[in-house]
Amino acid sequence: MLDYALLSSIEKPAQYSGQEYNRYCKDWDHNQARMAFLFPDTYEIGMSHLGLRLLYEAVNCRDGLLMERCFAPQTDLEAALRARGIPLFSWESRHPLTDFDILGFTLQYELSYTNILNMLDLAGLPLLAAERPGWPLIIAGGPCAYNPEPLADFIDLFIIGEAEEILPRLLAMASEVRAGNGSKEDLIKKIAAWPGIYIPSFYQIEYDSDGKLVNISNLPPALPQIRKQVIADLAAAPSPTKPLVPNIKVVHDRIMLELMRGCSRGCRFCQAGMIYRPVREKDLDCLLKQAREQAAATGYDEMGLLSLSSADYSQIIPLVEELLRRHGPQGVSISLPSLRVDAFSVGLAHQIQKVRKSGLTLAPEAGSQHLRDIINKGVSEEDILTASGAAFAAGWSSLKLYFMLGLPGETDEDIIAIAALCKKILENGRHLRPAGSRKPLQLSLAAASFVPKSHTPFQWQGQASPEELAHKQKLLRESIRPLRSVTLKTHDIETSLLEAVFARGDRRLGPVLLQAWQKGCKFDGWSEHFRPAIWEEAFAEQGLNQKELAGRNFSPSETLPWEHIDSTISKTWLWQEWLKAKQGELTKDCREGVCSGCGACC
Amino acid sequence: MKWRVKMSIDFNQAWLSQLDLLALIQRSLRRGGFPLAYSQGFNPHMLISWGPAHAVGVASLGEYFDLEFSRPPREDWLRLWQKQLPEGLDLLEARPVPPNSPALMAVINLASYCLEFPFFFNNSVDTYIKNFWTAQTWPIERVSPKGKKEIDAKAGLAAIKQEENKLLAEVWLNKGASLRPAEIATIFAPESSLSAVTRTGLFIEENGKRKEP
Repeated sequence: MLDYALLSSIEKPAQYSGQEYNRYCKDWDHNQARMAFLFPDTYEIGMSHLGLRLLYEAVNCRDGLLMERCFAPQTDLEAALRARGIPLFSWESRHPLTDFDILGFTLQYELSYTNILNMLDLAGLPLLAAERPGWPLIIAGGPCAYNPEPLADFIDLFIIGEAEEILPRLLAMASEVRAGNGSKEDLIKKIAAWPGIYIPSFYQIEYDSDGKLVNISNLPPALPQIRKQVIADLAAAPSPTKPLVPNIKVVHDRIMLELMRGCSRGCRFCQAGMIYRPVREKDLDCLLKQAREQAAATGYDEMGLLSLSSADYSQIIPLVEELLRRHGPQGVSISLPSLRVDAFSVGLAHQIQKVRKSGLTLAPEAGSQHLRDIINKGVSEEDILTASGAAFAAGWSSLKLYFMLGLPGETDEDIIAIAALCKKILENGRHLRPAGSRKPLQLSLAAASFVPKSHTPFQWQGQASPEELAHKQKLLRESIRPLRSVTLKTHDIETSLLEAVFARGDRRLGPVLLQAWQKGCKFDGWSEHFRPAIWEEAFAEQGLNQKELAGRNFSPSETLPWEHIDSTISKTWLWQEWLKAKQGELTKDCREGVCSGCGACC
Repeated sequence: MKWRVKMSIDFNQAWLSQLDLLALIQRSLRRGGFPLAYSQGFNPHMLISWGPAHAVGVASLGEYFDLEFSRPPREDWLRLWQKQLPEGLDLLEARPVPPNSPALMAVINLASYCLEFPFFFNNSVDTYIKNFWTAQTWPIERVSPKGKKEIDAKAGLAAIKQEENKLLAEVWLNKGASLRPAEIATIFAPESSLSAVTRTGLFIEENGKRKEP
């Protein structure tokens, strides 16, 4: 299908070979319930995604069910496929996507939505759910499904929450209905009342004359609220014992060891910290066993300890010590991608350097205590100085620091405070670094633009306008200029604007998305492909304004576009958190004893 | 102790870049748990040294690389290692070589290729071959991400002949920029499009005598 002439004309052809080590090669005829997992971004990103690995295992470990993979082809392959009329296919068996019962997209990032339309089109499928009565069933899930509305026109069904249990059941049911010559409609009716299943066509959205959303009503048998699915026992959930090993170097090319799910620190900007509650840990023995199996089955020399805040894993010290003892001599290093800002975390990072050196990143998020309290970061300036000091003392000469610009309540003083903080970090570091080291200390700052997300305390607040964000970026750049050993990277403002529009958007965005794609938008998260002028046109043609949509504040009495999606985090609690944020009041991590009543556990 | 390994690459695996192939080989060796030697320093890596890299898309009947062990591997290590490799990468032979033997890159100086085409136009290839050998020089333009440069194809080509729908070529590897299969195709069969390329051999040629590494 992909011959020499085609493959030799495209970049990194090995990514499309589907010949990866440890891939499932399930028999097509024996396994009658078939789905493809569609990742709406490149192979290199998709293969770095833990969710794909988990669901690939959850479906394929069951007899009779089959899951294959598909990624967004890069533009060079896409052009070749279109020129030759080759429909988009699965990586494993090269079946056209239309041969499957279910096609499932993962929604990791709002700016991959045009790729979803593009992949459906490459498969030869109509884009609008209403114009697509036949099989396959098109579904979607993942974090962005917590506000599914912008995609409601295109997706038949969303899974809200963790899909490891419900997805195999759904696939088996789809196959059963299809085997009895049932239609997609028959299937949808059967499962409309399943918990965790959201079928947009069973919900009516009403707007007032100003375009403000006023009501969401469900059509029976669909339920008024779709409650997120949660895996109660993480250790018992399917986890790959023989993980796929990609053919080409991918973004995160290592063993992925998931320590726990959820985070109870309660940073008010963080959607993941809300929607993945409650916190569930795997026990130490389970992790050591999974680490051993994965190391033996992949041959990787690096192990990533994954979670939203890995230093919070209750057994982190014994885990790291034991992993180093068992795997260190074989040259397997450990990485901790999400560390807290404190001396304990830096100590951990230092400990794992025994096998291989790597960089260190800390995320204070905001420069002033005032703003860190607003976002409930729970980190003091002393913590930051102790952590960075410990890092310099341990021999690091450069640090990466993450900040956000445009957080609610931010003033110019808060931005100038970032520069002041950097200065203190450097001065403090110069005293603490090992005697005799000459390399100048370096700080690399990354300043993202804050994007308010659904199901967080900041969901009511609009994004800072592009003009404000530009001012903030300029001010930060100017304030760090005197510090020569500090470099700054900022995010593209127009990209963040579009992300904000979709993150809190409603169904009115469907036609905009369709139009933007028709005009050629895809890979919007990639600066080389992003075409903001076309988006601007697409919004204007639908009578909508990006800046207004992104910057809009929702009032407390308003119906939110995701009101029917139940993340189990109570709206009242989120509102209280928003009020506390405005007062700069902190909410403690509930693992320290006090339950603040978010609703995830009870 | 050093071992020299010969491995073939089929058409499916030919699309791996040299870097990705190296990573794949290293992971397979780690899965096998062989006593390999590692470099010292902050980022220890396996001591593997390769012969001339194969180009992306080129299958091979025999690529060579040297592996360094920290202690002798068990007798059946090659068979065990083969089990850890994906289909399409076949270990053909392995033998110990003296620790001070020169690097493969330094001694391998000739590669042979088989270029396959769906068909050729009439007897065009003959004419192209004749013209090529009668010319004094044969400048071609090479385009790479780094830019364009001119190279003399005549200095790089050792032999060329047609066999049915194939071109069999021998290329010098040590005389400046070595000729690529796609460039050979452009010179001798500009009207046809390549359908497959195989590296059929790598050699050390000294004083007119040819041997395998």
